Amino acid sequence: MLSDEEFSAIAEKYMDSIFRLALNYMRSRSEAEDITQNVLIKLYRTEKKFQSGDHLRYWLVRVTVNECKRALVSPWRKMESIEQLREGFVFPEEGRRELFDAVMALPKKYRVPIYLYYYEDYSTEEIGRILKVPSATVRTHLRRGRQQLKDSLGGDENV
Amino acid sequence: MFDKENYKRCFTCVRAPEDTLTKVYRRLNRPKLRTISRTSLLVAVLVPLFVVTALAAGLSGILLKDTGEEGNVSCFVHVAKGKGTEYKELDLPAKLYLEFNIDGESKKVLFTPGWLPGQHTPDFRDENGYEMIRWGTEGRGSGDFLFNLSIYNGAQLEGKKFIFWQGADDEFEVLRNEKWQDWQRIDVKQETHRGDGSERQCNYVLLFSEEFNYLMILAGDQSAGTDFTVLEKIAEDLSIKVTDVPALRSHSPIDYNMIALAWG
Repeated sequence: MLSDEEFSAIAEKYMDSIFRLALNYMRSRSEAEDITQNVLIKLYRTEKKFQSGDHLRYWLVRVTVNECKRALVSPWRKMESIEQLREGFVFPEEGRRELFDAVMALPKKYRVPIYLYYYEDYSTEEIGRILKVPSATVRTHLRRGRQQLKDSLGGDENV
Repeated sequence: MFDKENYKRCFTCVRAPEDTLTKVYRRLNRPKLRTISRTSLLVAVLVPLFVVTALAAGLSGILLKDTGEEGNVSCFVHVAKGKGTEYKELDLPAKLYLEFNIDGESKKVLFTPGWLPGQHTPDFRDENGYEMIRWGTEGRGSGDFLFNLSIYNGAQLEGKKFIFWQGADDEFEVLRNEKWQDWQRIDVKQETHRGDGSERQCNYVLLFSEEFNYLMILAGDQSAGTDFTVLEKIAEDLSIKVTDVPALRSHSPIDYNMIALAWG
């Protein structure tokens, strides 16, 4: 198990990433908060030995995705409007707020690969392993997600 | 405009709430104390009741289980896979869940309440005025129930886990587990303090009939005034009809049911 100091340092470093992934997956602030806490508790309790920073990061992403899948089985889900989702986040430019709204309007199957690809810099093969879908499907979802964002925001689809 | 740089800049603004770690530490410290007291309660109350009466004698019984620090119970769930579906074993979050020992034949059961707080519209009535399955009163939003009554026959209980769904900010407390009238009665309080500041208390009264193999669940929202006194009054005036119709067990591999009062 991690020492309290190790846990605090890792939690501080990764909790925003966990929260962002959960928010993209669940499209719910309150559920993303719950999941972030659950993942950090699993990290605190795990006996796993991490071989590297990348190994730890990959484990956190996998656990977050599993927690999100589990939460989707819940008998009740709290639906949130775009305004509620945005509450508490400070976007210094109007364009970033618009991009956030457009991303959150995408279907989950596009939102999550886009986050893992563009923010976490995972390859389509790695995303396929994380989400347990073929990498070709990931590429298709990325392409369609980008097209939808381009349609709503403008910009280069082939980024 | 969408490009990688803009996307990164945008989502850098999305951050976990500042009190996330405080809440994690609070949850890490909390279960140790609560588990000791709850485990003591379970050892003191459940072991004599269930093990002696149900397991040893092979009679019907209800068992309340606490998953302790593990906080999970393994269940078969129905998940979407591509355009189809599949059954998969998943760990579902739960501190508390129920299991049943069902002895003998199970019959279809119906209920009708003799008293209720305020106006209500039942979901379904049979020709004799009995409610068939469940009903609730719409509250402050779609799917938001102020109270809810439901009944399950032995065929629906056998081999099933009835799970109190565990959200990250949910705390459960077993207030009562004892014989009451003709039932084994379990009272459970669920308190929720969510990250967005919303709070809720749900109250559950579970009534299990060892004689007729059924479970009646009465659930209420404290803020709507449906406290344990109200639920007990509903329970006291319930009419439950055990029919002669045999209850058939489903062949679905799904082996759980959720106990939760919907929150819109």
